[in-house]
Amino acid sequence: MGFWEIFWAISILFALVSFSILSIKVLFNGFRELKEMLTALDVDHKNSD
Amino acid sequence: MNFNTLDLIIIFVYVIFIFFAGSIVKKYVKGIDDYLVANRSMGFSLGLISLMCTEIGMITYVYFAELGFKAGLASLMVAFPFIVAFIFLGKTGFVIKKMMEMKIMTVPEFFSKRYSKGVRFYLGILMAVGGILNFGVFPGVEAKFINIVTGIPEEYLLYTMVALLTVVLLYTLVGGMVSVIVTNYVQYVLLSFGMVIITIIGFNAVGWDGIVTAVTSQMGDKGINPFHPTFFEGDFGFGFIVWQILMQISILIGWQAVSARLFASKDSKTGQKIYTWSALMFFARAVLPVFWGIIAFAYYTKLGTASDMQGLDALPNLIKDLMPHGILGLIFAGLLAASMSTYASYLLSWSSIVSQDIVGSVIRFVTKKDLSSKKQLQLSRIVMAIVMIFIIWWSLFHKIEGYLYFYLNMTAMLFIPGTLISVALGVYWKNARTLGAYLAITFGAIPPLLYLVFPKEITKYASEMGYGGFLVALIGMLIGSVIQNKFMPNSVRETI
Repeated sequence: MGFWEIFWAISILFALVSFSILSIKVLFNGFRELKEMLTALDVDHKNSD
Repeated sequence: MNFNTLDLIIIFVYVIFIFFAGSIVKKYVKGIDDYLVANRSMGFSLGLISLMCTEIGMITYVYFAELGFKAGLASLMVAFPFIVAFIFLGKTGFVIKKMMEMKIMTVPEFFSKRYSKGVRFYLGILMAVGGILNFGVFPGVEAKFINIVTGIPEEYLLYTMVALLTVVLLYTLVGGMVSVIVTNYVQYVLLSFGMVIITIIGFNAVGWDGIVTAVTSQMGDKGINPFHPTFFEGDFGFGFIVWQILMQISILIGWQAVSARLFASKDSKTGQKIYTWSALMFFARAVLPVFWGIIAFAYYTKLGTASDMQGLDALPNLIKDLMPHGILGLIFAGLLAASMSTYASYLLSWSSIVSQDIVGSVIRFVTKKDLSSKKQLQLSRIVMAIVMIFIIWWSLFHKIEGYLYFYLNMTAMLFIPGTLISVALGVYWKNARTLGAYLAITFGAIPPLLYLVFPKEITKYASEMGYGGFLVALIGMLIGSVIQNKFMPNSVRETI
């Protein structure tokens, strides 16, 4: 295997693994943030009303 | 029809769900700040999800897969400038920190604060033209994609396109950025699942040896070595890398659909963190679809049909031919998700430029007062509907020459070099003046304009036109500022 073949194989594998791990992490934390954001907007508007 | 009942049920349930999820958040939108930047309340994970959803649509997959299909493994080089640009801005806060501290909603606002209202208006026009021409090819390309994957006859495509865009328009009109963020979350679940599953199933169908053999036998060294024949002469060599790094940095600063995510962040620290971590996400956003194009090339080379296939048709054909039912429905829903979120965000972004920076500036100039928040909201919604009608029309009648990726890059380049140079020097060079900004924006638009008007003659000089745009924009800024400082030294010196 030549240099570029190894380089591209590592790049693709790295992209797939890091994307999967990071996606799971942000989906998990994002759910909590979503609830907090909507609550904060609601409270904000109730206060301003 | 290529779908079975299970696929259709999955897609139907998804579209209904996303419509309701988007429209029930209407109660959270009271003013223009909620509408355009979600009252600057977005945290790190939601910011990252929202940024990814905005910048991934079917069209993203199609143009990257076209590169992989036509240029082989060498075109994976396109992913690396994203890492450099994101990490550079995320770690240093170059320009973006200052912009977030100014609490602006659109990039041209910076120009009215640092230069003049006239520059803001001028840039707003170029941004709207470039952005809408860019956005304008999306429905056409994606309609063809849907046509191939679903097997819907071509005569019904216009109706499909209009139906989809109407759903997006409705929930974006009522919910603005809040609905975009909420629906983005749901969409990202399907989108990330789809990206991983296509890669795994596609790779299993051809194997690494199959890929390397197909690429090297059909394309030679050029298909695997991005610097073939030399680092300076290769299609993905020095010129391409320099252009793409500058371009990605500028997009992260001046592309409204992206920077709107920055302005919607809780604070500048969150914004920078989103950019730093986006480096990995955007790397995968380019690598995986390019890889699908390469897989398609290997797969159809094995079947003997690759040479008859258009680059833009490679990915939809691969998905249709390789994905099993059930998974096909999920992936298609994911792809729809990707496109709908992109449409929603782009619609919101370009309409906010037109309503805030162009129409809003004219109204302020004529009436000498600002529009109320409610009026701005109404104006934004009217503009959005007009933009939607325009992109459907443009999509039906415009034909693209050369790589789709380069067309999209060049439409962005109409304002991107002038924006980067004017913003960066506006922040860090106290002698940058209004005339310099005008010339930077004008000079920077010339190379991409040449490319868009004469695509056949200039295609092979795309990289030179690319980084050349930044160079002439810099020259314009220096000349304009020196002239203004020399001949009008007493005119008001703008500061921020």
